[in-house]
Amino acid sequence: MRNFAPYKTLALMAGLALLAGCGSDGGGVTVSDAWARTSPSMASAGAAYMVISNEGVVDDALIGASVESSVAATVEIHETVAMGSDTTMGGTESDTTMGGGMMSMQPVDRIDLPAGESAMLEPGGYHLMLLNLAEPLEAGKSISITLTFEQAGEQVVETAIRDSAP
Amino acid sequence: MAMRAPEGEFLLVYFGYTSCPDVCPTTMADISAALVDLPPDRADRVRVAMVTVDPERDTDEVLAGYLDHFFSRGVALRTEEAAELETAAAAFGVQWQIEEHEPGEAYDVAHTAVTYVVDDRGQVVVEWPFGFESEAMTSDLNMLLERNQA
Repeated sequence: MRNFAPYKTLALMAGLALLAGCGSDGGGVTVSDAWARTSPSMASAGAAYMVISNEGVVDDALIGASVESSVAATVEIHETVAMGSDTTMGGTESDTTMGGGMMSMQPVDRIDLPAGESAMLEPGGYHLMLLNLAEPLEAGKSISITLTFEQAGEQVVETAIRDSAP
Repeated sequence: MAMRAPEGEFLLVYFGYTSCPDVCPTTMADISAALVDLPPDRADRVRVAMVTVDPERDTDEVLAGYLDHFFSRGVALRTEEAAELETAAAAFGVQWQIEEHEPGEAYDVAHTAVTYVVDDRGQVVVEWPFGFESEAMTSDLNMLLERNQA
């Protein structure tokens, strides 16, 4: 009887390896509530927001996004941050006034999506910045955004254009 | 660029720029939603003025077009004189910083994202920080407009 144990173990491990492989086909990550704000006619940049949930068992991350050139030239992942009075960006030293705090945004390489957790892309926080819009984003229409995940690969998200959050 | 609202009215002053994809459109949309919830005769007594902190990219036309997207009574304020802009901003305690960039390169402008409610004497009566909800803005405006019947 003892001779069979190693073969069982091998079979079990092979099965596990197959399951892990299946985790990379996009099964774990879902995107919901995707929307892009309507843009003023002269605005060159737009923003898209959404909720990304990792319902799988494998840690993942959003590492990129793109759109057709008929929508915009490039897409970057950005985070809006409030710069505190202890900013290291130089500028004026006299920001001791209450209203002096500045907001700015910075590009980020990735948004981590630990297994079982969600990431919110919402106004004032993370967002996808659409650079050099080919034409204004009009309410009632929708655009396709291709998201690239580190593990799950690419996923196309239909994004409705609206004046405000759904 | 001293600012004051016409008698009996209020002026909402905001410093921003049109190439801003998140903070500025969000604030403009929030204000727009707040004004929609005012009774029409009260909404007529509120104007929105946006001062651009990015006069290089925000021409008069661009800025006016931007405001038209959000408001029917928007006021576009722009100056190319750095000293004039600094004085106007300092009056509100507004700071801004243009990101270093090569010519032609896209750039971000960090800026104080507060909306200032100015009365007909040129006084700031309320400050709304970024993220202040539309319902709260409407509530503030209703109170101010009722108190300040011309």
